[in-house]
Amino acid sequence: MWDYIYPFFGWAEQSWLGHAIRESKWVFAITEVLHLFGLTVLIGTTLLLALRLLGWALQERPARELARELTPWVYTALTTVLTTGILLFVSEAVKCWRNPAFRYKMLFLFLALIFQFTVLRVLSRSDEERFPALTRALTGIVAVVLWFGVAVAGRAIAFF
Amino acid sequence: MSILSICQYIDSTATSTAFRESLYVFPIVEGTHVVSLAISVGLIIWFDLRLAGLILTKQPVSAVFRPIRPFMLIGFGVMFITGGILFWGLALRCYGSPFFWAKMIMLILAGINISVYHLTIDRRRAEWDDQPIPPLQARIAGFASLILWALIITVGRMMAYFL
Repeated sequence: MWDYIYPFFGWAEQSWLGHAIRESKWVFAITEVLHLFGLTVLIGTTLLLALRLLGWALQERPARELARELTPWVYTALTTVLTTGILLFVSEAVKCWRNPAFRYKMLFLFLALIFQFTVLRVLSRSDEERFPALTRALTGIVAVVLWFGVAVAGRAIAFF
Repeated sequence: MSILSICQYIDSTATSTAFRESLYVFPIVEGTHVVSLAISVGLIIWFDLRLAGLILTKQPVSAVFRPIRPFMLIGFGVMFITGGILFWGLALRCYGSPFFWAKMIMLILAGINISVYHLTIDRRRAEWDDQPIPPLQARIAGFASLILWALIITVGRMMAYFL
């Protein structure tokens, strides 16, 4: 299956955008820094929400309210990581295609995004009594683990 | 004894060489450094933003700070230890990197910022704990911390990139 989508990776690498980013060392480095900023904020919001779901932080505040207050931060961070991530990807798409860490990263990213917009979203926005404490705690932990998976696999891309 | 000779000595030790040449230890330590960075800085931003009066303004400052502090400290601890190991393995290359020096200066500034905050305005926190917008000095400390950590991440990434 991975072989079938190779032409897309080749096309991305040869696009004008791919050339433009690749040819400037600084553009690539700055894009990478912004990618890291986005990731830090994203993991920060996930950690804070997870701590709330575990019942370890900001107990005075309903999780629903906290989730709503954090939403703009989540969207800003997600937009930043996805935009800069695409830019980084097109600049070295063929290298990514060959890279095992990249495949794991995409798997974690796929799972993390689905989890974020289904389970985490529903659970963090519903009343405390609707779900048992264990379910809420596990949801927080899974969200953190998935985003950490993205971060670790992402860092590992550079090592292959 | 100059800093250069200390770096040369560290670089020449057997542990430093072994670390540089290792296939797995280096990526694992580097990966742990990045993850602990995301934990500590990812959590400290909420405290900084609360000090700046930008988020979670309905909670007292201490209610935001107290529960995240242990996790933040664990993150910082791991980040310092892995950062120390990375430096041990790459001492001479760090010495020659302007980004490394910029990072050290900014780490010291962040340390001074947090010390000044805790030794002055934080002593009187009981007076302003509940205020949605903390006093100017606390807001400045929050903003300064946010900016310094953003810069530390930036130069840290640049350092790895140009090393």
